[in-house]
Amino acid sequence: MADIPVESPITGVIVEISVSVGDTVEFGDVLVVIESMKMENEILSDYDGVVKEIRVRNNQNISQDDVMLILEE
Amino acid sequence: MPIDKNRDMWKPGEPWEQAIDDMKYVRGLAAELGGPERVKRQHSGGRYTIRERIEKMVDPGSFLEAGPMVGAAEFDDEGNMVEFTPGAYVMGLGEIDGRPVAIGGDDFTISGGSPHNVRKHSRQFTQPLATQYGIPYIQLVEGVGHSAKADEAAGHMGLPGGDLWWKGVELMKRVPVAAGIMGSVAGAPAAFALMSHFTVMVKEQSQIFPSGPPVVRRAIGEQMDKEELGGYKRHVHESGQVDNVAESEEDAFEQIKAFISYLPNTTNDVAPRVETGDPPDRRPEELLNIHPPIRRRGYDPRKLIKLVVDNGEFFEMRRHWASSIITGFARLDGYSVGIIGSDPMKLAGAMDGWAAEKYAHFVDLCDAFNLPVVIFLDMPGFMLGSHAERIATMRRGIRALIASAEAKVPKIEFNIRKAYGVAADAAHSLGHPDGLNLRFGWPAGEWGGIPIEGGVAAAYRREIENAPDPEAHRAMIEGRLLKLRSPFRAAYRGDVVDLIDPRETRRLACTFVKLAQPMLHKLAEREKRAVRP
Repeated sequence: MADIPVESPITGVIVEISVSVGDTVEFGDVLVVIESMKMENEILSDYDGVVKEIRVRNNQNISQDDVMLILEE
Repeated sequence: MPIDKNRDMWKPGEPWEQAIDDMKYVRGLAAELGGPERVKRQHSGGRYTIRERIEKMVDPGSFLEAGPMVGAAEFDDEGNMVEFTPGAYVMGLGEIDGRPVAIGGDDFTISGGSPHNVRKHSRQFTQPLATQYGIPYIQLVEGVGHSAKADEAAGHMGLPGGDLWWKGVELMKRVPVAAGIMGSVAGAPAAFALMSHFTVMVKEQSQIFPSGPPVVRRAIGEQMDKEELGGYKRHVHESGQVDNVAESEEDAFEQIKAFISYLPNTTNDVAPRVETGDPPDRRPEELLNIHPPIRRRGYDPRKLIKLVVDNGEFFEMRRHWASSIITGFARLDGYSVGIIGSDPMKLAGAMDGWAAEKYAHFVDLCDAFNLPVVIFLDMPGFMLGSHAERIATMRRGIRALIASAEAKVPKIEFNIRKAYGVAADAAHSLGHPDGLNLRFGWPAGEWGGIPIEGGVAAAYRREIENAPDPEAHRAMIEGRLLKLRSPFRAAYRGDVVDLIDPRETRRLACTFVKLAQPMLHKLAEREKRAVRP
C-alpha cells in the first residue's frame, strides 16, 4: 500500500476536482482539471488506486510539480 | 563443453580433417560463453544471453558469426590449448524479415562484458561491414566499460582517444543504428548504445549511466540504487536520454525491428514501399467528430493519427518524454513517413524547451533518411511560465525552427486546430523553397500571431481599463476579433492550400507522399551528417 503523490504536470488554476477522498480510481480516470494555456487540461491518473488525500481546492493556482493529491496503490 | 587440456590439437602439416574437428571444438568452447554457472546466473536474473538475443532478433538460421573463434587462448609447450576465454562480444550478419543487418552485442557472462584479457569489438567486424555494405546496424548492449584491471595488465593508463568513436560516427551518417540496452550499462558501452538513431531499454532490467552507484557515491557522495539513478523512469520519462521503454526483452527486439522497418538501408536510399492493403482513398468517418466541439478541451491525438495512417499502425518514438509533441513513423499508401503531432492533453500541446528539442531531432532524423514528414498541428504556442523559461524554451524553439527550415524533405501539414505564434512557425516552417510543402486547414482551425484572449488583454489594455465596464468592453473587442478567427477568412487569403473535410485527410496525405517520391530519390543523393541524438 504505497502512497503515490500526484504532481501537477502544468502550471495553472484548478477548475475542477473530479474525485473525493476514498474514491477508487483507475488508470486514465480524470483526477482534476487545470485551466492553463486557455485549455481545460484534464489530468488523468497514471495508476489504479484509492484517493487518500486531496491537497488542492477549486480556483487555486498551482505550479508544475506541486503535489495535488495522494493516491494509495 | 569444458576445455580438454589433454587434447592433442592440430598442427601445421597434419590432416585437414583434424583441423576441421578442432575448429568445431574451439567454436564449441566459445558457445559456452562465460560457462554454465555464469549463464545460469544470467538466466536467473530473467535475462537472455547474447547468443539467445541474437537468435531471437534475426530470422532462424540466418546468423553468420564474425570472429567466433576470437578469444584469449593459452598454450602448453606442445602448442596445445590449455585455457580459453571467448571474446565478450558476439556479432555477425543476419537477416530480419529477409533484410540483411549487422548485429552484435556484449556477452555479460564474461567479466560483465568487459574482459581485460581479450579485445574483441564490433569495430573490427560489424561496424565496417554495416558501413561498407549499407545495411542497418543493431547493437544489444550489456557491459560496464573500461576495467581498471586492463590498466594493470597494460602497465599504463591510456589517454582516451577518439579512435574508439569515429567508426560509430560514420555509421550514424550512413545507416540506421538501433540499440537495445539490455541490462546495466556504463562507460563506453553506454556511450556506444547512445550513439544510435533509436534506443530502447527494458523496464526494471536496464539502467544506463556514465558510472554506476559505487562510482557516484565515491565521486559526489550521492547514494542511490542503480534503478533510481539510471532506470527507465529516469531516462525514458524524465531525461529523454533513452527513446523507448520495453516491457520485456522480446518487446525490445520487436521495437528495434519496427524502427528499422520504416527506414531505408542507408541515408542515400529511399525507404521501399510496402503493400499494406489499406486503400489510400479510405475516408475515416470518425475523423469528423474527433474534436470535442468545445475548443478548450483536449482529445486523443493518437487516435487521430491512427485513423489516418495505413492499418492504424504507428510506431512512436520518445512517447514518454516532452510529450506535448508526438513523433513516430507510419506508412501512407505503403510509403514510409515521419509523423509529427501535437498532444493537447500534455501541456495543452504547447512547445516547451524539451518538446522543441524532440521536434528538432525528429525532423533531422527524417531529413537524414529521406522520409517525408506529415504534421498534425494543434499548437497554442510556446509554453509559458517559469518552468518553461528555466529550460530555455525559446532558444530551443528557434533550434526547432531552423531544423524545420533546413530540412529539405517534403512536408505536409494539417492544421487540426490551433497554430499560434513563433512556436507554430517552428513546426510548420516551409523549409526548402522548392520543397513540396502543403498546408491544409480543418474547419476547427484557428491561428494567428497571438490568441485573441491574451492578445486583446495586451494590445487594448488602456482602452479596456478606461471603459465604464471594463469586462464588457473586453468581451466586446474579443467578439469583434472572433469573427476574424474563422479559418474561412484565412482560406480566402490563401494561407492554406485548402480548407478540407477532416475525412479527406488520409486521401490528401497519401497523394502527397506519392507525389514526393521522385524528389525523395534526388534528396537521397545528398551527403549526410550524423544525426545527433
